Amino acid sequence: MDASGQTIRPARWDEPFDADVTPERVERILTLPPFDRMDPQRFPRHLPLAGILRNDTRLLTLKQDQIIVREGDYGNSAFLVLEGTARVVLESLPREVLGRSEGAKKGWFQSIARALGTRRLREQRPHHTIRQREADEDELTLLHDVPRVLEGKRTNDLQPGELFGEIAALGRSPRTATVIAAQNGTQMLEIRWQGLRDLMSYAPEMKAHIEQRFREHGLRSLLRALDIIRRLPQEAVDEIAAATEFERHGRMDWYGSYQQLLDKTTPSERLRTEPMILQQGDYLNGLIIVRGGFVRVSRKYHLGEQTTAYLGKGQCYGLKEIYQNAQKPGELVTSEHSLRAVGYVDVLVIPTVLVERLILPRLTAAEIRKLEPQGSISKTARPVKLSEDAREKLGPGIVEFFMDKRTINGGATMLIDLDRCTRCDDCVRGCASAHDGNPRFIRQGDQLEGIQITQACMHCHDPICMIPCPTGAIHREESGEVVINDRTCIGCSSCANNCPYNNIQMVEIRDERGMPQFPVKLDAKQRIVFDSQGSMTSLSADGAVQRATKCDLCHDLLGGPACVRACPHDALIRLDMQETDKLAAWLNR
Amino acid sequence: MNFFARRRLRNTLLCLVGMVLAYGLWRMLKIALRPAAIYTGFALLALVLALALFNGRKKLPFLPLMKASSWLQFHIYAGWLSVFVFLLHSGFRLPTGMLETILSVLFVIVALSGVAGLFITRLLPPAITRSGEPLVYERIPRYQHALRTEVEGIVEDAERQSGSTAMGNFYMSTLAPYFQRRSSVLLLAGNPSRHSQRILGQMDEYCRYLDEELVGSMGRLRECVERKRNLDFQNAAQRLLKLWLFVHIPFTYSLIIVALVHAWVALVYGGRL
Ligand code: SF4
Ligand code: SF4
Repeated sequence: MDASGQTIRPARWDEPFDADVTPERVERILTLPPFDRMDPQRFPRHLPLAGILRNDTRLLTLKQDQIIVREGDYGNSAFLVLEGTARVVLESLPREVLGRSEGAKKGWFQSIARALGTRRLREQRPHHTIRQREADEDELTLLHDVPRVLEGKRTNDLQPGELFGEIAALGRSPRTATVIAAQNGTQMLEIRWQGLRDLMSYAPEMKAHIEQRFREHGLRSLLRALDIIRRLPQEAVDEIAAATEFERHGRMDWYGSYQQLLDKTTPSERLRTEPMILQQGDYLNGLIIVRGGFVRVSRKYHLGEQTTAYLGKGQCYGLKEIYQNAQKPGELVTSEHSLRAVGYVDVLVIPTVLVERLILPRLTAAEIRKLEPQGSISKTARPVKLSEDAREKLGPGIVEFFMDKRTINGGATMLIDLDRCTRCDDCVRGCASAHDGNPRFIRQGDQLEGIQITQACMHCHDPICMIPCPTGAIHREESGEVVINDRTCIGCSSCANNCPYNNIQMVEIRDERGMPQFPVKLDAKQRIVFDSQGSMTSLSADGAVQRATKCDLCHDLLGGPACVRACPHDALIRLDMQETDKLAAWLNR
Repeated sequence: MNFFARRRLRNTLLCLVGMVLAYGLWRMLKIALRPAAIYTGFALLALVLALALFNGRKKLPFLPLMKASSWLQFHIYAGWLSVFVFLLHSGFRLPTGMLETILSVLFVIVALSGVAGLFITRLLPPAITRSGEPLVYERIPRYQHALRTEVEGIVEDAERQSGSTAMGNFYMSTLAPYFQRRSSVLLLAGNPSRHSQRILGQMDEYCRYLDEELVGSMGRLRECVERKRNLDFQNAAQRLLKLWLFVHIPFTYSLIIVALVHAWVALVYGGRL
């Protein structure tokens, strides 16, 4: 409590994104486009434009060829060029150039050699050598040998006033291109998503600009991924893209408060805190397509609400109601379900008139059959992943349990059938033997009706852990696994702190003798300083060097996850939680 | 029919077909006056070696050698087949001679421990799951210690607050031995809850002589008894799930060694080497 008796809580702007963005610098930024065109009067008093710039932005001065964003990385910031030039590489760069792991699968001989060479002590690594963390970070963000790497590749130069990275930041999707600084001293303004969101809310020109860019660059391909739109002629797709509305629900930083929420509230209380996208009984203004995040589908049941299904990226809701309304214009069919944002959700809404005019006439007979009144909910436009009625197949409680634990985010969630699990730990040993003697999961976790959600990385559809990684060490492989590159991880713990499921462990790494490794001292020329005995000068006061570790889904092993292969009792599975049919089949084996 | 039922049916049929084939071959060898015992002996040795490979597979989970669950299925049904081939090899007679007797006893131990293991691994996991709070086997001594400390704390508090030694006496006579004991696998031989039920009955009985406050403390102690029941059951069940392997695996290796000696002796004394 302060002197006036008010409670003081930590607030969003207690810690600015970058303390170097001083009021003087903000003054200068306000004179640059696009901020010079914004009307500060439109911003509310508690969120002034200058305040957003002061607290939600960071100034970056980059060396030539320094990477600003890497293709495939997740990030939560957009960038505005202030001075100099940013070069967008329009074609994919080789994995090793971007600091990704090798990616190739190990053959038989490599696997055997690795097993024979398994280190006896935990978390042993060759000495991290040789440089301090800061130096590491700089080095790792530099694109080397640019003329050779970019030879023959198409690039596009961005000039002062141009913005990039906003689609990935707001849509929580991977960056689609690598961008580097084209000149020494290139200056960028990094705007974190919170600030970007507020700028969009109060500066219509910013909102229009960003939405226009999304319409031009991302929306068409996203729409074309849907079966019901893929078959439409180009003009129809263009018309739909021009009229599609964007909606965001929930908080992008839901994961920060979620653990607290889990501890303090009941499941039905948590359900009520989820922002409503569509209420049961409402008329559908359009077809709702999930662009990012997860939507809970529920309906009233006695005095509460029963979750019947969930929708993930690319799935849509409302086609049935729109179809039935079009068939019988006199009878108003309203939504049979409520839709709620689980955490954070980004949806697209195609207006009903366009669905009726452009989409319904081109539906196939099979699709129409599913939309008839006896059909079931959630006609998904992409291959129907959601079961006809997930609840029926999965059994009462299970859908709600998975929703509540947010396990639905998992692309390869580890589930253990405790009625078959003999607690032999062969899975843990299997994992350890595939990872130099270090198991990458803990055989424990929440459980319901004999099913355990085991504490192993779930390789989330929305991998929040990736957002703050400064070096891109944690990344998604093309095959979908979220993987940490041990060589480029600098042990900053950002990913581990961001994982809402506590599935990333920070470990102290050890040298060949089993001793903790410490950062070492470098001289002005970045050479290691040795002491009089010829040993590297350790900075042990900084604490031992750490690395982030987690399940990598054995992405480099020929046979796939060792845990699954090691379980003799068919008790363990890795499942994409959006594949509810597979999940139901596994539960009802 | 669900996946497991279908798999069981398929594998049982395959196993029966294997048995019929083995019997047919054995009969033909007999009719043709060929040394059937040599053939069945080698078939049996090959089967036992193949069965033993399962343990080797477990040590190499990083190699793409089929899932351990497929190996286990093979292990189970080839195990049944090997019992049948063993009967053919022995001519459905009791063994004679020292080596044969040792070998037969070893085979019976390995086979019976395998069958017992199969039942244990199918029956105990659901019981463990339903027993209560999940416990990590290696940490059970720690949980037990913490529980005991908690119980002693409740008893001490009750004594201090009531100024009576009623709870202390009850603890010393009834609760202390119960909370100090670590369960053995023999617990599973009868009703695993019998100890806890007896203690709970004695607690109810004793409550007649206590005032309201002490009855409240008894309520907390009842929860501790319930937790101890879970702890004892999980300890016994998880230990048994590990123990049977300590019979099955070492006896398998002994069996292989004695079987090799037996084969060598049979070949040498049969004039085939
Ligand atoms: S997939 Fe591989 S790394 Fe992940 S838990 Fe299983 S064995 Fe371990
Ligand atoms: S290997 Fe299978 S049975 Fe053994 S502990 Fe792991 S999940 Fe359970």
